[in-house]
Amino acid sequence: MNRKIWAAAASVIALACAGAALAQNTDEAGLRARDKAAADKVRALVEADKKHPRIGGVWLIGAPIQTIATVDGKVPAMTAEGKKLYNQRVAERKAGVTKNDPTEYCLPPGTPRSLWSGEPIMIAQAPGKVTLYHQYRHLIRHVFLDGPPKLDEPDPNWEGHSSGWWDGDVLKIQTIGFNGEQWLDTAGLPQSPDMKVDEVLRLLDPNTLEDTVTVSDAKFYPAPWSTKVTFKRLPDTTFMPEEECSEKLLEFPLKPYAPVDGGTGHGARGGN
Amino acid sequence: MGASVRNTLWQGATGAALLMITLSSTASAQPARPAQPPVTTGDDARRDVRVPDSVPNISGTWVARTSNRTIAPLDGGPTPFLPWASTYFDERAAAEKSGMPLFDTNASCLPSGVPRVLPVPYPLDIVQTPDLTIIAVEVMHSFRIVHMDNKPPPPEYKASYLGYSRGYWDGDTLVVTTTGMNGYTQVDEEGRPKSSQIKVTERIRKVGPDILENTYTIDDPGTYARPWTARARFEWAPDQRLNEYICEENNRNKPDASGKLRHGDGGRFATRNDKK
Repeated sequence: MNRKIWAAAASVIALACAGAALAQNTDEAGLRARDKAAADKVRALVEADKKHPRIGGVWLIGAPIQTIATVDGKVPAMTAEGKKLYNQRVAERKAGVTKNDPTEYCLPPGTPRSLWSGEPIMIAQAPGKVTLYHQYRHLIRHVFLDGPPKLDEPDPNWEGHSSGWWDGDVLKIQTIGFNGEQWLDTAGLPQSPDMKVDEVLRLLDPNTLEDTVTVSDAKFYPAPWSTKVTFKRLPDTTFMPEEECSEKLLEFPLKPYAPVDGGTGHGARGGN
Repeated sequence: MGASVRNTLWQGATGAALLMITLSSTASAQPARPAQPPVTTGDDARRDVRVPDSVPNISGTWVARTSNRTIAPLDGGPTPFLPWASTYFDERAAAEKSGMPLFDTNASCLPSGVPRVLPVPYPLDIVQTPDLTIIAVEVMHSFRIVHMDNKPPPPEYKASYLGYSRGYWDGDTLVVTTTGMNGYTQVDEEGRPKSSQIKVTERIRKVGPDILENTYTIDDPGTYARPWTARARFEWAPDQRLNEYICEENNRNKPDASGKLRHGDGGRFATRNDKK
């Protein structure tokens, strides 16, 4: 019985060693092949991006937009449910009530509302990702250049999940995965979690960027509608100051800690 | 060879074959290194194509191996506190021990400042352009803009949480100098304070194929008797994406009038998670 177990164990070990060595070799070759394929893909992306228009830089919208109009200059057509919500919000703002607008709580305006905040947007253009850095509340949107979104279960959020791809000279971006809480403009155009936002970014000339934004959200809008915004290029080195919305939510003014700054060195409120 | 031995060998061989299959499938399911471009090319898909090849590529996503709870001198020695700073540090430690932690900017969704934001246990996303190195941090959706002209802040600059960062390449090392911070943040979460006189100099370089190292010196004559140096390391995480991190969604741990933290009602959105 013992001898049987030993013989079995020995043969298992011998064959397993050979198997492991073989598996490792295959694995390394496989990794090399994968590395090469990945590197080739990156090189192709880099070469392609050298030919793309430069949308990277710092951009400023002509004027902040409070009420979004469609390309026809009208308020988008809404479903009965959409109209009800919108009219309620418009009436509230008229009466001076703003507490239901999420941006009042320093929450992100999300996509596409952050596009019309009226503050500079810095775009960093790379072959695999285009990143939008907003001066407005220092919000960030990462646009992965991996084609239309493929996320099975995107974690719903304010900015949504953006994927993009170059189509000739235009950059197309599709954004899904919203939490459905944000308004699309200050007036109060609603969104649902099923909203889809399609953007087409096009350089009209080297210093003018146009973004055609199409909103598809059947809960509130009977048909997809589009709006167009244009941005003017600012110098690449434009300084974007840090904006901290949350300061206005503080119940007391911040005070410095250090005696050299006039603080008392106590920890409670940064010097009391 | 008896039948029983042959049988045993056969069983052994079957076992080995099964083991081999298991090993191979394990190897293909979990390769030693995830599929990614070789390190020698850098993360070229993540930086502006106009940056010359001669500039080291640190673009891409990185994850810290360290936490920002404690930022202490690298040499293992004591933190060279000035007397007020030592008292402050002890006061915070005592308050935390008592279960009534004292306010810091993070409690109100305000940024950590530099250097506290450096070794955060959240991913970083670095993008290099010809003029800037932009370091985005998942936590508090902060981004630091390093101005690669290495010039002082413009006249309109006002002190801020993250300060004004400027940088240049010294061989394979990115040297970043940050000044112009307000006096509201701390050096670390534990409670090492700082003043608005602080200057942080970072030396960032790749020390291994997939490792980014940041050795940073804290020079703050308003708080410390002499400059001191700490270090953080980051692993390359090419497949990781920065999530949206919105502290404001849950901004309910506000301090009361005495500066003690409490659970408050910040409004409909701030209490949304409480209702769940």
